[in-house]
Amino acid sequence: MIAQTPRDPWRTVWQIATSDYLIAVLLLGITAGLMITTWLPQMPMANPVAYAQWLSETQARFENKTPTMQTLGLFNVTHSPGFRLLLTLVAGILLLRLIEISDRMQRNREMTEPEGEWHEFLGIRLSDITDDLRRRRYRLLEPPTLLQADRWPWADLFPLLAHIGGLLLLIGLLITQLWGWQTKELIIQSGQRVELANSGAFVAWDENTHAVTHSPGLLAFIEEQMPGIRAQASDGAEQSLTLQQSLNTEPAPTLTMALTEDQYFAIPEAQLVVRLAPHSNHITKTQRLVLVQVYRSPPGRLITETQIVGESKLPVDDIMLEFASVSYARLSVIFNPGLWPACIGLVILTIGLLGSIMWPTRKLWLQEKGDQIQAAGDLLPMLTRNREN
Amino acid sequence: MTTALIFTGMSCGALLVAIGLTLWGSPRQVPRLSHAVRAICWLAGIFLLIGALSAWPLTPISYPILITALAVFPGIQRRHHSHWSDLLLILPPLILAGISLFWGVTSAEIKMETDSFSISVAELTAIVCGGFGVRALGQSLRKITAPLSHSEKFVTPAAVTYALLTLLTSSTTLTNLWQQGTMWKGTVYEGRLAGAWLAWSATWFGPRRPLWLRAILTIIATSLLIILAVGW
Repeated sequence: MIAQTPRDPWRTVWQIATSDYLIAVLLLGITAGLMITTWLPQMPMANPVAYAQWLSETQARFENKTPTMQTLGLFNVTHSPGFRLLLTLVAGILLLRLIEISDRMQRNREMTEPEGEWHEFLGIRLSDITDDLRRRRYRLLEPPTLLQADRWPWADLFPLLAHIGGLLLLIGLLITQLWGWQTKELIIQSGQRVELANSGAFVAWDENTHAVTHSPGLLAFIEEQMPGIRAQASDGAEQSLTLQQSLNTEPAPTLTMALTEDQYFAIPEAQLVVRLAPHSNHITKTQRLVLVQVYRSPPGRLITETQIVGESKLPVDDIMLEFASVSYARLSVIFNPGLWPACIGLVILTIGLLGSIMWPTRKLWLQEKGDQIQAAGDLLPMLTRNREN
Repeated sequence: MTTALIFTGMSCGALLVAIGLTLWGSPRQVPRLSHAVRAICWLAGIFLLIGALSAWPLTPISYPILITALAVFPGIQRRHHSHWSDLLLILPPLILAGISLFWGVTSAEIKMETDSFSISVAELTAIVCGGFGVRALGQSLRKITAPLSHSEKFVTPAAVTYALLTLLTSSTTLTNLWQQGTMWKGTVYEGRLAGAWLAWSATWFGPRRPLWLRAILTIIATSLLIILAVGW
């Protein structure tokens, strides 16, 4: 009776966790998630207007399936728990594989037992094969009877680098997710300095120097330059009148506003309401034709309307409205503490992958048996050609 | 556009002839038949190149035609006798050429987009990747039937595809990180690029045996690469 060695469950778990099957399945899972993002419209997170537009389009397209698809997270794949779980699993598996590859690299220093089927070749000399192997920069280990050729250490070192790079990249992503933030749609006037809420950081933009200045560690860039307008009003005695944009804002003698959409303000002392509607055609990057409509309030009757561009004056009864162009920009501001780990990880990952493509793991064993050569493992092209002919 | 479709149709015909000759010649072991098949593949490649470039500047319909040209050009391996499994190298480019032809004939709006169309380095790289990807797919399918043949070539189409795709993905991501501070802007192109690269990574790092599983992985990865390159 043959005594069976009990199977170590931990070894089995380790083998499954570090197997090529598992990493391939996880990578394909992430691929599937990413492909869904390209086929299904993803929910905009920051912009409420874009969200409203997305919601109406999605409901029109998918009708009563929309709630189910939303529950499944198909419209928010990259932020879904399932996708994040996949990324976490990949990070964990990369770590385990890193340990495995380090161990394998140590073990591969020495000669190993031949693996795979032995093939026999006639009419070929061992010295020709070894010359070919040396030309291909294989390492040759030649104990008395058996010859082993492999690509140690490069064939193990580059996958090691690829795994380190992949891990660093994922760590960078995690740091960004935990401590990073992003402010989109920040409308800023030229020359203005904006303090960002909750972070104590600032951003400023100057149209003349085209420079965006900001607190250290931030990254800010202009998404779009846009026109704006400065408005003021005076009465017949050239006394400045106050302007008010909404009930919640303080009246001010001058109002400055970006013309991203229709803007309204009131002149309470003159009982006037002014509507500024930007025309869709730009004259320059920061100048636009603007339709100005003035209403008497009450009763809400249109008194006058005209189109203006640049500096303009508009008399309404004994009130003089004055307008001037100002420049605005829409900025995105990012604080990404995971930038450097991600960049370094990406470079190491690329080097590791390109290296492992150029020096893939190849190992073969050769032995002479009379006038035959026996080979096992990853056969060279000269051996496969010999076999075909 | 009509010229492009005519030449694509001619290349489909040439590839069908190549497949027919391979099937006819392999049991008979006709000497030098593989050379004839190779010549026909070159001819098909020339037809495809003329077809793609006849619609200069390039239009979206030229993309799959260019990919097919790159996939079919070097043809099959230099051998004295033809083996039936050689048809697996010709089949994927033939299918892609057929799809291009069908797409070109049925899709009216593509014909409208010929003005002011330019191709970027990234798009060109994706096309080259696609071409090598389709060649890798053919070799992967062929390997199932002939596991030993040319198995350990140093530079395989799969290696070229994965190397180019890795360079494209990492340069795009590094540019995003450097200019915009974020790896992922969430565009459709980025999603497809990352998806194709991950699928190729799964193929590269995935199990080498069984060969049919590797072939399935290559089919998935190549399909995603073609979607990326063509923009379907």
